Amino acid sequence: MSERFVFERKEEFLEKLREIVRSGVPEKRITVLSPYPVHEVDEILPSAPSGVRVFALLGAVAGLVTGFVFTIYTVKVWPLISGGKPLVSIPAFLIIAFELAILFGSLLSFIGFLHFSRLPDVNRIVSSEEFENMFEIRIEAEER
Amino acid sequence: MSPDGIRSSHSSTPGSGAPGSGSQVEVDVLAAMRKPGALYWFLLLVCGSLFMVGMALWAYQMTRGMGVAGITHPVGWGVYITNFVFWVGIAHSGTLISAVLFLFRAGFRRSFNRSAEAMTVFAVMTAGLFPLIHLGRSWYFFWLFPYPTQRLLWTNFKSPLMWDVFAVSTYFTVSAVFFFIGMVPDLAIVKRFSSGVRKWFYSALSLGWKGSQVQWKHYNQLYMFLASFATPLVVSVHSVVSWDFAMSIVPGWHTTIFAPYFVAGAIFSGTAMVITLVVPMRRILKLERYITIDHFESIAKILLFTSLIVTYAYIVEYGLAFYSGSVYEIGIFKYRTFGHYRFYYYGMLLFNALVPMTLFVRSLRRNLPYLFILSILVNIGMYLERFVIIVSSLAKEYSPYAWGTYKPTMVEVGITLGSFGFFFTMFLLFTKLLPVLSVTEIKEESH
Amino acid sequence: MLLVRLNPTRLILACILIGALVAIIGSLGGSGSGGALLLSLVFWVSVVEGCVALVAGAELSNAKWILPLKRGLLSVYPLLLFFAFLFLLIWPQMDLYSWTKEPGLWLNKGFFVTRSFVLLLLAFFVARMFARESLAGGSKKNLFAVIYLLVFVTSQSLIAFDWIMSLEQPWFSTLFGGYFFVEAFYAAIAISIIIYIFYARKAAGSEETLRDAAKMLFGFSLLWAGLFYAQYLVIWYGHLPEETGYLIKRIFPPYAFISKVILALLFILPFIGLLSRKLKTVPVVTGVLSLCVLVGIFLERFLFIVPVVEMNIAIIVVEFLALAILFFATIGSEDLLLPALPDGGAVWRPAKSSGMPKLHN
Repeated sequence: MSERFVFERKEEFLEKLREIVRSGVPEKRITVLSPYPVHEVDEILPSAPSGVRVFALLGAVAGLVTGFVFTIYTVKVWPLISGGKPLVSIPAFLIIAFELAILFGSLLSFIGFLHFSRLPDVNRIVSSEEFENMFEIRIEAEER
Repeated sequence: MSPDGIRSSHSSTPGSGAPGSGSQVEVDVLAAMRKPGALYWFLLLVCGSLFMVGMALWAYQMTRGMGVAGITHPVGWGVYITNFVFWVGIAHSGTLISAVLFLFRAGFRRSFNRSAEAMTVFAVMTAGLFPLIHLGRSWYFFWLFPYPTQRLLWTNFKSPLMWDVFAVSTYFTVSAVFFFIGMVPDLAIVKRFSSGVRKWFYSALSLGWKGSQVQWKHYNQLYMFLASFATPLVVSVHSVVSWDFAMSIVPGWHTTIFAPYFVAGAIFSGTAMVITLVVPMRRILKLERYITIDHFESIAKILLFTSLIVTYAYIVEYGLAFYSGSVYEIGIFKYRTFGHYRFYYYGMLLFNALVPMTLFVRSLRRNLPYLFILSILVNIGMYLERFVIIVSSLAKEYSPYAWGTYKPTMVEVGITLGSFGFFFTMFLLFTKLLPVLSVTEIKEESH
Repeated sequence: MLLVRLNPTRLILACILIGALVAIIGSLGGSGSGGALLLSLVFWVSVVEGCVALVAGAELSNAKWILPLKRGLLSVYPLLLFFAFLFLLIWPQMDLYSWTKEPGLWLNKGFFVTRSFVLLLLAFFVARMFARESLAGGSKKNLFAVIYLLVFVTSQSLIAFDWIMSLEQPWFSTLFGGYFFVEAFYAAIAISIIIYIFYARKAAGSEETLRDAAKMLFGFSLLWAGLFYAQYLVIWYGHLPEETGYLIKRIFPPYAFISKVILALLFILPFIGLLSRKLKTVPVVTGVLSLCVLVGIFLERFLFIVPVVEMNIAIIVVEFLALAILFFATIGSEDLLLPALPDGGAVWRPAKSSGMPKLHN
């Protein structure tokens, strides 16, 4: 069976959360809902650092590589000198690569975020459950 | 803002999802989204009509050809490009306030960040129109993008205009994501307060946000990364815009300080625009409790700081032109000071360098009417600055036989006003459709 | 870190000694000594002015991370007075500037030396007022911070334009002044990390100070790269002979290697090294990267001068060591020309925190 505790004040909520964790309820069965990020929760329920950083790094590197590969490839397939500059002009292409690094990094972080936090959550969108101004602790029933 | 004031007025009961229940912050901020009054409709009508007039003039220009605009040889870049630079510049302070101040943990950002981010998105949209308007045959706009064509010829990635395409579209995408993601928890709150179709709309827009500890963890991480990406991005965007000019060898354009100078100028004008928008918004939507005078003082300091950088750039540009002994450099700066566009030049010096110095006085930094007027003057000054830089250098570039002057036609003026109409229309819609302050962050702060 | 301890008298003695040393080198060393003196000044004036400017900037933006490092950073201000007089020793070496043969309104020997000297003196006096007011927590500290920053920006810009850029006449770059004062901040952040590691670790209490300082170093590595690129790109793209000459002399042989080293030291290494969140609080990593930055700035300024002016490596090393010892001894000596501390701030007191005996009361 699952349990639900709802609090209006952060202090009471944290106290209860500490108590629940101390009483030996496994952490993965506890879900905490809060109206804003509460840093103490991270201390009470420690978890691995967010994987969004991996997405950010991958995106940025992918963008940088794409930028250079794309620009260099296009001047190689049709070698047309323009502006009196060498065909492969790294200082100029760096700008394209930089912008793509930022673009891909941001977008991939966003996708990573959606992936890790299970959003968009269709069930939740159609349900009448609300994002309350309350602190809530849910303890899910034990798996059998 | 008094934390007690917010907490003591809790009126909700656990589990109740009825519209109207919620903390004081929620009620106060979302009250702004209620049915608008007559003044709002009037403003919307004015701005919307202005926008429509601009669109009609654009259609007229497309049918009659670019001859209806004043740009011709030697001044091929006129108010359209001025507008482009101006609007991209306006966008910049939004990112500064939301991303840079976030990284520096400056508390006052939360009074301005939502409106500033909205402003960024709308300003980039407005800016994006102008290269298209300037193209003349606007329907060929897709030629700007690199895509495989039948002739196998790709766009020229060495062209600063190509850099612009990448920089501005990246900027638009990233700032839109940033704007949206910052709003997701707030949209879930709006959902609770609304009913009917609106409820469905905001529910879908909030992605089904519930605020679990897992979501918050990834959310904070994402926000930090977006802020870290947006900070170098914002610097790069206006640098690239400045390089549209600095890559040429036109005297007055080809100078190394242009990138940081333009970036500072962009933040300067954008901060002024934030003040222009937020002062009336705070009054009309009754947000005095959340956007305090202290917050305005902090933002006025940013205005002063960027004004000083811009002033520094003016002095250095001018000083080094004479230091260099180069006749062309000296010539163009003499032309700016004494030539056809001298009054614009004086206006730019007055509004961007001299008048903002008054912000050294603390009481003036805290005087909202004064700040409001000053911010409008700064916007005018920054518009003049872009105009002077673009037009005065082109009017006297290269061969003296080809020199000439430029005056915008009514079509150009109309389209320019139309762009202001578009921007303010979008902002007005924003104030009624989306929460104008970050409710979640204010709650986090006050507890 | 360093065993040399100073009090005001010893500081004056040390300055006179080093001054005499430089003067003797100048009169004996012949060619090469002028360039060495210029290099020492260009580097150390930036570092010292930057240290005070960093505190002033942090003071104005209410930054908390600077507090444990503030006293260390401010304690170097007396050196500015010394540098002002050291600068006068350049007078006999002025022929290293080609424009002295046909002086102009702005670039002539008298005006050049006078304005530099006056600005250094001014920087010293304003820095002194600011440092004392800031440590005493006085009400005018923000005012003095603003005045100091204005003087600092003027002084660094003119150092860039006058001392270095005019070597390369007729080349000019409007960004050069801004480039210099950003580098001064960059150097000061590196110094603040070194101060944290060697002097203020215990007093700071937590690692947060180091983390924030490392973040600043990371941010400035990007900013530096941005400014460098902004200048490089405009010159590269414009391809005007009077501009490219400056770059060609510095990035092609014989200086191709050193220019790449500088790029690595000032951007690539700090940027990659500090990307990781964990490494930002490892003192060895941040300390080494800070040294990289300082060495990078020194080498870069060497590279500014060396293609135009004859340099003598031995003289450079001697002068650098003398000034480095003076600099770190000044940081390590408590209460040097600074007011006593008000009780109970999170401000660093080396005598207590590191257990060293006090020299005077």
